[in-house]
Amino acid sequence: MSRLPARRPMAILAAPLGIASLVVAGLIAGLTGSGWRDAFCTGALAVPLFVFLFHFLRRSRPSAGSDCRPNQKARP
Amino acid sequence: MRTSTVRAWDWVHRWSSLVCTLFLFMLCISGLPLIFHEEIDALSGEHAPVGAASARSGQPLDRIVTAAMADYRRTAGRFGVPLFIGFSQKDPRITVTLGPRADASAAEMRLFTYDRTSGDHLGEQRQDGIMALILRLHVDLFAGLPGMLLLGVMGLLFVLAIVSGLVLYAPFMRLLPFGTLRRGRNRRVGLLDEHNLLGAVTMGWALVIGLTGAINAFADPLIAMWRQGELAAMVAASGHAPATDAAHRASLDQAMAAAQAAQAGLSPQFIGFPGGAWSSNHHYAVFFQGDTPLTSHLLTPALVDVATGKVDAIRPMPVSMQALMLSRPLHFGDYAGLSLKIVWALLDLATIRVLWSGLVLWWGKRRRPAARGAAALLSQSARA
Repeated sequence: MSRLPARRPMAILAAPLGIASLVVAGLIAGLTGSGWRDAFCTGALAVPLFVFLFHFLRRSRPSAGSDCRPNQKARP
Repeated sequence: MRTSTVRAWDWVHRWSSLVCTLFLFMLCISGLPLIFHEEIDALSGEHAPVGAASARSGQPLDRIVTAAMADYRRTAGRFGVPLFIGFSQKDPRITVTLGPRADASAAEMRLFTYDRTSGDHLGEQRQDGIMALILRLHVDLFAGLPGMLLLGVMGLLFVLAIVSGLVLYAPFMRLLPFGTLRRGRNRRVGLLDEHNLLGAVTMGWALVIGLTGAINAFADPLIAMWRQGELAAMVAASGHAPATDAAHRASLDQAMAAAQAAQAGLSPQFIGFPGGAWSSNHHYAVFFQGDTPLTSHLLTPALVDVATGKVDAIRPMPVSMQALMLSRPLHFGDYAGLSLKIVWALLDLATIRVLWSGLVLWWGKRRRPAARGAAALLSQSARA
């Protein structure tokens, strides 16, 4: 796993806040119209699930990072 | 962020989460079948009749109400009074709610459904079916207003837990890239990563659900405030009149025609009868919904004099009531088809997982004194 130099809070929160903004935009779009707005609403709300799934699957692959050592004994 | 500040936010996050966790498990689990209540109702054999929407046309309302009163008398064994008429915007179904008195409690109310095109009785909406019981558990824990208010406070605590979780996310992720999920080195660190990532990505949806759920939970006080404020002002502006007994009331169809003439083009959503929570003692309150996707969730009441059948007042709802009305679709997620419902259910399951991982992390802290406190976990997280 890569380790970053210490980051500013806004840089850390950019991704969660960006996803949250997209979700809220999707909710508003769905509420204010139908057709493409409903499709955008569903797509925007699915983004959090896809983001989690992407990182979850990436973690599951052996080549994903040096810390993926499932057989290593857990530290106390 | 200073260690003392992290500790303070950790305390807020821990206790705001713990206090509401049990209630949130119940809400998330009972909410799952409620998301698909239309599909479940269809599976149980409840099919909508074909015809014009009951909000637009059909049999006279007076005839439907007379039939409903006869059905109430036959099934309840006593006379009842009409409380509400609910219209459908999609099919001919029309529901009439009756009770023993104008101010009957929700538990005393009975709902009869009719086909407005044919006038046929489609049956009584039972309040003791499995979906009705799940809904009551979800809404008020079978405890009426106190249960609703308790769940409202739990909703606000959930919002506080999300906000404090976001504040803590920054120091926890200071040295780690977004999306970090470590496995194998330490189960506790892996679970913390999962809790952080799943909580961070579902934060926007969870905040909306928590806030709108809390607003819905405070519906009764908000409606009471509207009745004592805006509605009382509308009634006062139209002049005070004594309550009119049922025998001397104007025709409901005449009242509806007058209200629709005043609100040209808009569609009625429901009628509140005199003396109920949604009307005055001297008016039929006809609630119209807007004709755009957004305003279809907002209501405008027209007060029709129950004696003369003439419109006395029309006034948009105040901001508090509009917030209540908009919070309903935002909480239910039923406004963009089945695909949105499926995503809604998956987000609900993700929230259950976040609650569970948070509970396991807290339990682990209790069993391992060395791991107690945010600072310890923060340090552990950075070391791992």
